[in-house]
Amino acid sequence: MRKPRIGVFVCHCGLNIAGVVDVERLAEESRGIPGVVFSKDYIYMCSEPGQDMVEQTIKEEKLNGIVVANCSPSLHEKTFRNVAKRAGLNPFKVEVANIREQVSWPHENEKEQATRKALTVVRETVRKLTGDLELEPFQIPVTHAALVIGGGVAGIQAALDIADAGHDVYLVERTPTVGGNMLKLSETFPTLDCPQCIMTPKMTEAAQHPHIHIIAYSEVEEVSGYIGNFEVKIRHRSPYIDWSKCNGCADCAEVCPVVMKSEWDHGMDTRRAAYRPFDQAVPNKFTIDKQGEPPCRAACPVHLNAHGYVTATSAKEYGQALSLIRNEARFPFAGVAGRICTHPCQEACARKEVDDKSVAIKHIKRWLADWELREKGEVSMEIEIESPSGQKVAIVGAGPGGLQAAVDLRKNGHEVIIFDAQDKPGGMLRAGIPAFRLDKDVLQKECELVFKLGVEFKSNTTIGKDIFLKKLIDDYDAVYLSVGAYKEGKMGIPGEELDGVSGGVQFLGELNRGKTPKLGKRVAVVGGGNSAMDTARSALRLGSEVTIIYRRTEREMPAISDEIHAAKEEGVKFMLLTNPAKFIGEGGKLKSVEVIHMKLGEPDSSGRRRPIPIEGSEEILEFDNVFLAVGEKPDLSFITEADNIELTPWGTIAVDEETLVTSNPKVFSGGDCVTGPATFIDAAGAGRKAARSINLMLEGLDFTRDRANELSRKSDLVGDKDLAKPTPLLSMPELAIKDRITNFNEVELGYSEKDIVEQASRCIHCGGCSECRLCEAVCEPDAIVHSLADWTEQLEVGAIIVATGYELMPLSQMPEYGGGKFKHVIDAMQFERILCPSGPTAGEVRRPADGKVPKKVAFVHCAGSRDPEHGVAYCSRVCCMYLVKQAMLYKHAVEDGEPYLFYIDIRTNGKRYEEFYARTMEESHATFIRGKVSRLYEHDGKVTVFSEDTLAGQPIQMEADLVVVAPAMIPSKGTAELASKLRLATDEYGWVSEAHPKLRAIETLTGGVFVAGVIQFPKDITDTVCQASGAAGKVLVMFSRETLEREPLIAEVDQDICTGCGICEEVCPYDASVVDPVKKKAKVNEALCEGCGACAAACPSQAVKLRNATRTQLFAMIEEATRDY
Amino acid sequence: MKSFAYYPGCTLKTTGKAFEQSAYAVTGVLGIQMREIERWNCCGTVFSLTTDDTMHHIATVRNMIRVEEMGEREVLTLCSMCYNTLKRANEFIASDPVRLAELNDFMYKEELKYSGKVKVRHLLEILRDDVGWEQIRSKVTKPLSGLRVASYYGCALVRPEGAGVDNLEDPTVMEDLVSSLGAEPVNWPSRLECCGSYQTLANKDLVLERTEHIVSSARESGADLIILSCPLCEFNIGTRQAEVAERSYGFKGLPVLYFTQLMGFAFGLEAKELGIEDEATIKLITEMGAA
Repeated sequence: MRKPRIGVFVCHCGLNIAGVVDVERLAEESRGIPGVVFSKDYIYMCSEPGQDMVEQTIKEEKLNGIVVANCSPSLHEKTFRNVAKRAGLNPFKVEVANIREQVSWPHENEKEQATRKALTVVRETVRKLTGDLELEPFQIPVTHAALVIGGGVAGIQAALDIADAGHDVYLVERTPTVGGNMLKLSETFPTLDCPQCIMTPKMTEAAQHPHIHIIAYSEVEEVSGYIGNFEVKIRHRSPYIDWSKCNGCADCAEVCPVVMKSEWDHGMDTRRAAYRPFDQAVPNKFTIDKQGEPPCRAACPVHLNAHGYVTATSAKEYGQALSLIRNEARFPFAGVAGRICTHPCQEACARKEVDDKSVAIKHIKRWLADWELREKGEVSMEIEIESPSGQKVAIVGAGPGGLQAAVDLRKNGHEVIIFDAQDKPGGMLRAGIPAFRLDKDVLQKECELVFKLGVEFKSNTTIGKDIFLKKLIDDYDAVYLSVGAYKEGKMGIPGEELDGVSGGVQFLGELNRGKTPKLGKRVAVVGGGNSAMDTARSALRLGSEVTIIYRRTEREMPAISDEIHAAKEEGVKFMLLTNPAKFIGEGGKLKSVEVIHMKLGEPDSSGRRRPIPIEGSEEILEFDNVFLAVGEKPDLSFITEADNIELTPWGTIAVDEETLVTSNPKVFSGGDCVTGPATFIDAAGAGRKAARSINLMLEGLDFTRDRANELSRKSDLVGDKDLAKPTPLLSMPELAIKDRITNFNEVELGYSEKDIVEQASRCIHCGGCSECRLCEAVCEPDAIVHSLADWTEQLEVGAIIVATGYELMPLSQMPEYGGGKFKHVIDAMQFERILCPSGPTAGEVRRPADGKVPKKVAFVHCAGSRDPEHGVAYCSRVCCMYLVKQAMLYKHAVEDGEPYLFYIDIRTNGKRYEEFYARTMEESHATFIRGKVSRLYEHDGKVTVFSEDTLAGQPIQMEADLVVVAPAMIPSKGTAELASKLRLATDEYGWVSEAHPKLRAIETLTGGVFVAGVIQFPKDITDTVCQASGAAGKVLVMFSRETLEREPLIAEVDQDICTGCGICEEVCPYDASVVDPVKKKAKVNEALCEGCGACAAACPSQAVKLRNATRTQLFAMIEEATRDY
Repeated sequence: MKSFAYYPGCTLKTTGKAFEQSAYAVTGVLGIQMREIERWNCCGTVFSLTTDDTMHHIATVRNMIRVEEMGEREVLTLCSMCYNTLKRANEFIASDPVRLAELNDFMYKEELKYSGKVKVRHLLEILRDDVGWEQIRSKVTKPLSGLRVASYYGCALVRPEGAGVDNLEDPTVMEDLVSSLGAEPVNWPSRLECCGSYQTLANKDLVLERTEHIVSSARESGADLIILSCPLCEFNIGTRQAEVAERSYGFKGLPVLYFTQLMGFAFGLEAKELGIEDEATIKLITEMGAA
């Protein structure tokens, strides 16, 4: 250890220090500090002569360390390190004793104490210096590639500058095109340049530049690394179009039937789901906008693409629509479902929020099936069957569940055979639903579609009699039981065995087999479900007088309300709050029924109010026939102990809810035999779900994973009510009552083509793109890929520029200006689109709500800006200029128009801005009123503006045709998340913080990350472009060297002492300290560490130390400081 | 039966008697008990609010001690002005332990020390939050369908933010009340504008101009009558209508009622019980309301 030869240099800093501290005395007394061999004071140590003096002294006196007693080290520490370097002294043997900010300034009036304190500070610093080591800065490599986040004018400019210098730049932009906000403007102030004209050359230059890689429709997902060495993960959002093939021909947009609001036009115009934001977009590619699974599609147990086929129908593409059902979704039952489905899709349909009535999805589906039959005389289903798997599956029950399962299993190339006790396929569809609801011919044709795929059908085969379950389990690789529930429940009251009392479902079955049972004149049907309604309406058609007897009220009836309504219309009588108590017979034949009246009590387990018999209210009614339709049960008598199939306490087959497997691992089950009587579409959904389980199982895969939410699920999408067509729901045309009740012809007649297209157009497209696939058919380069998923890319860059720009504060946050609900109040960006010659109105100024030309337009300044209580405190800088410009342009477009600008101050302080403002007053005769608008009120097509003319001292109330509001500029959505990924500070408004507001407004405090444009703070285009070039310049400075020098005053971990506890890793704000999982020791990443010292303070074993600021040094300083006390 | 301490304020015992009367009537129907504070004193209105200091607020906050003496935690007010004064003064004192101590010190002659915990509530707030519109709807025996009602908030009910009973730019509590009574709430531009308040003493012309503006605005928006919650507003835009008619040719007024009176009608109470004497008003409501 060499003997210290320290020099102390005391700066006067003019009078800043010398005016309070006795600098000469200080220098003198410093000479007496141990280790100090030289001391001097000087008026401006940082000046050239001052620095020269220090340099000379170091050389002459052979100093091996210096203390400069002056201002804050953040100002001149670097200066004196450089002096040391020049003098041949290690720059880290330089310490600053701050006797200005810490001594002379705070203690202005206590000169004596200040001087004593200054001496203490100098003494401490000398002690510290004696412990300093000679250090060398270290070098880190720099990747010579840059990432620019944000493709607006700032991003484009920065990218061009860096690329022109020969380095690669990745320009990532969130929307499908670069250009940002500037590209949407009408004309820019003060030159009235067309921004599209001045920007598109830059955009194309960027697109064609060999060093610029534009990554559009993408976002930064993750950033790791440090200055010079960043690793960035980019997520490319799927446009569902292969951009390498897309040639921008626009054919897809032309056929796309889905209309959505245009973001580009800020809601002033519409676009299609397949769109390009702007004709000169760069990249010039189309994008398909999908919002997610719409409620109709989500609610369907088989997830038919209802949105898709409704949309295709609205575009008159019926073949394509039907193909989405039969071929895409592999669902044969278009005609059947279109007639009898309980339509959960319609219950979830978002159109209901518009006019209380959903889209007529079911009727549309029926129309498509009927259309095919009319046009082609046959029905079709085309699906690709995979090559034979060599495995076979047996299905028991040819109802909708079994048939749907068969389709899905057959697709995978399995051999499938369906057994059914009936003569013809269809299950309850054939046996339980009367022909006036479901035409049997339609049913037969659609069932046959299943067999045409190669599925074998064994009719008239009853399980438990003709074949046995055990044999199926042995002979087949899997078995699906879909045997339904049609055994009529008994009421358990006296007289049920009388002739004349029978099951409703049994009766319907007979009818459907072609028989005509003989009924008496008076028929009663007990029950309130669909079977009861079907039974009643069927009996009516055979000529009887029918009464429904139900123990609760109509509200609790489980039947579809349409069925109940139809039954009433046709003349079925309803006896509610009534239940049979016993059946009275004569000679074994039914004669009358004793009924008892009920009242409703508390809810029972079904959630419906329990019926309670009213004592003494019995009545005897004469009936010839009574049909019970009180709830069916499955007939599971075929199941033996050996089959190992457990049942539930309610007598249904027990299955795992998610996979539908029974207690026998080879046997699956679904539909009514599992749930009890449910609906057709539930059975189909179960069939599909079970087929999925079986398919996975037969492939040897785990069929239990990720099986939740496969059946009906919820979607949060709600669509945009503003775009809804006003067309009301048209009721289904039906046979007149008199034409119905003498026969079993279908009651619902179907719509006309014109009506069905109109009904399909009621859809509000909450899902965005409906996947109707009409675009695929017309895309010549075959670029459309609906299954294309998002993908990620990894980039390595040395520097990052954040240029993500702004958006306007939404009107919804300003209730005093209508909160976004007033039709004739718009924001400035919307008005730009209207004024824009390439905008939705081709530059004609018309009110968006009704197209009228406004003669009086009020412009509202400072909406949200300069408003610390309800908005933001800052001024958004550009609004005064753009409102003045908009007033001028409005006047150019509407010669007799009257613009009124309501302002607080007019801030037009750029080059030629004041002159522009003067022109607007003098030439355009715009009226300027100094008074903030306090409120807007819309009525009768006009907007009342409440304000004040503060110069005249009068309140003002003015009627305007259109009001244009200038909302505060706020950071783009997503800035907070991006900032946290980059570890960037943001201010209280969300703007990215610069390193220093005056001197370093392009850099951030995160090394290697720069900021440009409005994201740092609102500014106009001139300043934005300048700042962008500045940021590029900073990046080029970084790239001008192969390596970057970093100060070595960082933390280091003594590997011998470190126990790997991880506390330093936890406290480090820069993620610089990482515990090696193998060695169990912490190590500091030299490039990331900023030398804050948190780890050194937190380390419990004192393994971490901060170079040249060790514990020893700090304690020595404390000792010096407290010596006199 | 939920009970509240009830602070009437000066005017409700004199020119605003009908407001108190009708309030007792309707709260009775709703199962709310209003217990008038004993020995209450004037809240001081604008005088008490002139300066934010303990001295000016003493008279106001003294009433809180009375409330605690009654064993109540919440005090119900009807008059917007009293509500505003009591609420703001109470907040100012109760939110700062130093001020609270100061006040209690000064009021050493009182038996009870003020805990700072009394809550000041306006009846509209209680109807919305404690009773609920469903409950009110269930008590309506004469739905006022066909009656178009303009709700006048004025200033003190909704300003400043924090003291108001509802959003100060777009309040809906009175419109919701009107809907629950079966009537049709009217949207009109002047519902939040000042009636002129105490300028009625020194600058009557200003108030007359305001009255003309506000009442005409309600009429033009299709209202049949105006409801409000402050006897000063009632005096200005109600009673002063006669003077406006004298000097402004063509001015047609509108009946002005307290919201509790309208409630009373809907609950099937008699006009006399509600303190309404004007035949024309009674006729209007019973005829149109029954539509």
